[in-house]
Amino acid sequence: MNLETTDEQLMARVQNGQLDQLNELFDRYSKRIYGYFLKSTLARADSDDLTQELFIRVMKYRKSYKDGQSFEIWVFQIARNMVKDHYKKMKVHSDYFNPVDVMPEVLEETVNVDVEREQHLYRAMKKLPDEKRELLVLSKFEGLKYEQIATLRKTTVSNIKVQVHRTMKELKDIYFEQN
Amino acid sequence: METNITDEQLIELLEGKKNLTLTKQMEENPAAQKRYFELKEIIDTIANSSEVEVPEHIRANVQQAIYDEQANLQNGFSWMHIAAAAIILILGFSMGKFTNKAVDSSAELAELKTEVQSLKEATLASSLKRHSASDRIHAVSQIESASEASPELLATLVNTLNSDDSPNVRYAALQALTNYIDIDEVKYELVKSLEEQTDPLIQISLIVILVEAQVKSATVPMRNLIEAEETLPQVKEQAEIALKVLV
Repeated sequence: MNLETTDEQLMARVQNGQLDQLNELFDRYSKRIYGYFLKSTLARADSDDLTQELFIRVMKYRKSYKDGQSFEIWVFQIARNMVKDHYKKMKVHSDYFNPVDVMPEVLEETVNVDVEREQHLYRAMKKLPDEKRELLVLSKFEGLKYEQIATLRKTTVSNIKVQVHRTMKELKDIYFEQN
Repeated sequence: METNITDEQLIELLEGKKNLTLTKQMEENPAAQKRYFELKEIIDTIANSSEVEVPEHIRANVQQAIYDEQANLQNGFSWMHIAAAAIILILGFSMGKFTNKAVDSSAELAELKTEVQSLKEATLASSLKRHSASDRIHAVSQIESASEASPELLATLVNTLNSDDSPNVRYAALQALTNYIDIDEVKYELVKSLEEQTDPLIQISLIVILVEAQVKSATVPMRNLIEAEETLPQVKEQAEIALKVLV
């Protein structure tokens, strides 16, 4: 029997003033949220800011969380809005993209084909339109189901599926064109 | 005859959809196989992509924000109180004016303006200490929209430009300071800041601003940037152009 407190129960406690419960939600979600920001914006410093701000927003706007609502969807909805704002406001930094910024530091001797492929992938992702890159991050990196993304984007599952497949095809073309 | 197999069908296979007919068709179709393995390489690279750790300072800042919010809840204090204090001041002044018209109100008006300005500045300066970068950017933009800024507020902006964790907030502070470039102290601080900044965007923005304002003393840090090994080529290029204009 799984006795772990659910995300929704934790959020309900935060809503009722037990703010320290947000630490547990941070433990559960910070890595995914950080990964989502990092791979959607491809900017490390901005992802630091966005991740921190997201959890502060969760605290600040805790009353807007509806009881019974999926916390995962709610938190990614906030994250998505922040990324969309970021795309609008912070384009100024996009010229300084370096794929290494998105990846963890690697020791020289560990540099291998996988690392090179990953850098190559981020370079290709950078060439995708922002919206498509963000969709790919949600579906392929963060593992959200098509149903969840459809809820987030307020559209149908089949529409999301088509968009993801088209984006994958586009990414493949860019990725192998770079070679 | 080779059957036409779309990329979408291949992605479905890679996503785990069972389709024996399609699998068999693909095995007999080298072109489709090639596309299959290309897509597989991308999906595998995504699946094996490195995990990036969340920087520790983010956790620390979120925890601090939680403590602060808890303290605010206990004290019942918020920045709304500062706004409320300003409203009370204005109301008090208005009532005084109506009840005692004989009193010369010009001195009171000046005093009221000073007090409201002090409250406003205190609020803005406090906002720059907030945890969220967007809150801090918002605070900076409020300063930017103010017609006048006190030396204290300018000092806060300079401090933000030189020490805020977020490059975006530092950039916003620089943009706000540009409005006060006619003030000698601001010119001096921007020249000093050029010696300290490491973010290329801020370095280039500072160079452009200092050239436009014809600040000759900026040539020293610009030369230092050109000579420094770690300076990005784009920044060196901007500094060289700037030196030609200034010297």
